[in-house]
Formats: sequence, structure tokens, C-alpha cells
Amino acid sequence: MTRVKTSGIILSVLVLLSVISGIWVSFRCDRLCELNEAVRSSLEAGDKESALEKAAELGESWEDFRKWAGVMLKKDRLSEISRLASRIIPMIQADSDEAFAELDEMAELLTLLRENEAPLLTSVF
Amino acid sequence: MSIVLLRSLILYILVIFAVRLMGKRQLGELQPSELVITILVSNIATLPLEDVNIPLIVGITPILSLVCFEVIVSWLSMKCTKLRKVISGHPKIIISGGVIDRRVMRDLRFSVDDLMTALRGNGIFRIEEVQFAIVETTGSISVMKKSDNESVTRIDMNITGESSDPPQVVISDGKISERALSTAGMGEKTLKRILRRERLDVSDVLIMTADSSGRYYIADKRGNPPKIGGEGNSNDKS
Repeated sequence: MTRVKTSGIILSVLVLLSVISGIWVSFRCDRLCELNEAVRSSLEAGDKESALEKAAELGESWEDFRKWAGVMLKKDRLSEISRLASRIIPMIQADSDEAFAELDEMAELLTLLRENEAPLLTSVF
Repeated sequence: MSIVLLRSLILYILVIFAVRLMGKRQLGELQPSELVITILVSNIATLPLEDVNIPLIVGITPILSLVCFEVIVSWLSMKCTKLRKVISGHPKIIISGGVIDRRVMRDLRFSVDDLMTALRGNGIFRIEEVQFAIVETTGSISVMKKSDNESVTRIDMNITGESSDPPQVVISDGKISERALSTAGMGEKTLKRILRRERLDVSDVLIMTADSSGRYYIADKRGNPPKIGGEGNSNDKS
């Protein structure tokens, strides 16, 4: 009976942790997408200083997320987004049009990351 | 490399814990579901070891959850006969009254060679000796011989014998086991008396076994011939 109880407790902890991690990843990805959108809006409005400020905030937020997400998500998925995040500020500073493409790609990867962590039929199968 | 080493240590502890959680079964007696879990656990454990990009939690979560599911399902199987039949199936009689049931052999996809191999594994080389054979849910075969081919027992010869419990290892590598002493019904004073008589100290003993009838076996660390003796019916707790 001890084994059954221990198994029940372990399963409950695992379910709880998976729910919490799913909610946390979803929340942080949404926040990162919002920051991404804010950078894009600033660039479209021609406000370079604001875009740089928001891009720095986006970079910091991403780094903070990546540090903890590395415990539960595969590193190759995270390193791709890290690569994009690190290029945004130099591109904005250089007034490069490719900044928009980088921002779009980053938003797409963040959405994919969030969807893959949600227990939907499409992600389970 | 240190990461791989630490991961190996963590996964080793985890797999030992998982196997202990599943409980005591010998490999040949595992139910099909238990065998599947055992194989899965060993394969899953290698994933985070082979690739450091895979987080450790990706190995830990499936191992723990599979083992926990197995423990809970086996407990439910114990309570519910229908569930037990669905998961483990039921034993099938392959030989009854000395007659081989071909229908059961076909159902189990058992060839004649498989049957003979299983019988030989039970120490039976002549199929005519078999009265009854059952294929268990684990895949092993249990066999009952015809009465003419069974070994003679004390009952057949009208000889009475005293039943006793198996001997306990009361000293192992120089250390006394209090629990084993108690199970064997032997007190520490009796133990020390035996050792004194055999001119040995506890620390000199590699292994000593004793049973409730007082019989003992002592092998010392120096490799001398073992000492075998008896103390009469000991149930002495002194």
C-alpha cells in the first residue's frame, strides 16, 4: 500500500508541475510576444530610441525566461530564439529593414514554443 | 563531461528508485505490462545521457510517470478481476489429462518445438510423463506430472518428518543480525556459546546460519572447513 500511495503522490506532483510549467511558459511567451509587438510598433512609427529601449527590455526578458526554460525545454529550440533576440538591437541601430523579418520570425517561434507546451491534440500527437 | 557524469549519477539513483518502487519480481516472472515498462524505462534513461541538449526532466518525468502508472494499475488489477484479465490475460491449459490441446497451442502461437523446450525447462524429457501443463500469464509453463512419474514423498512411505523454517543468516561478514537471530529463535548468549565452543569470535565468521531446530553452519574468514552442528530445539531468547 505504501508503494501505491507513493506512486499516487509522485503522479500528483508531476501533474501539478506540468500544469504550472505549461501556464508559466504560456504566460512568459505571451509577455515576450507583447514586447516583440511593442518593438515592431515603435519601428513602424519611426521612433528608434523607443524601439531600442523596448528591444533591450525584450532581450532581458528573454534571457531571464531562457535561463529557467532550459530546465524543461530542449536547448536547440531556445538557442534559435536566442540567436534572433541577439540580432535585433544591432539591426535597429543599423536601421536595417531585416529587423522586421527578425521580429516576425521571433514572434512565430515564441508562438510555436507556447503551442508545443500546451497539452493540445496537435502537440500531443 | 562533468555534466554527463552528474546526469549519470542522478539517473542511476532514479532508475534504482523506480525499480524499487515497482517491487520485487524476477525477470522471468514479469507480467507483459511490467516487462514493457522495464524495457521502456531503460531506454528512456539513456536519452538525457546521450544528448546534453535534452533537459534531465525529459528523462525523469516519463520514467517516474510510467512506473507510477504501473504500480497503480497493478494495484487496481489486484482489486478488479476484469481489469486483471484485460491487462494480464489468464493462464491457459495446454495439456490436460495427458492430451495436448491444439486449439490452445494455435491461440498462443506455440509450436511443438516451443512446447518441448518449455517442458525440458521444467526437467521433463518425456512428454508422456505430463498429466497437466498450464501456460501462465508470464509465458512460463507450469507442469504437473502423472502420479506414477512423481517423486516419492515421505507421505508415500509413511515417514513423518518435522517441518522447520529455513535457516537464517545470523552472522554475515562478522556482523550479527538481530532480526535473523530472533527469527531463528536463538538468543545472543546461545550464539556466543556456540562460537566459544567452536573457538571463534564473531569477527572471525564469514557466514553463520541457524534454524529453529538449533542446527547451525559456520564458515570462517580463514577458509577453514565449515563447522556444522546442533544445539537441540533452541527457542531460547537469552
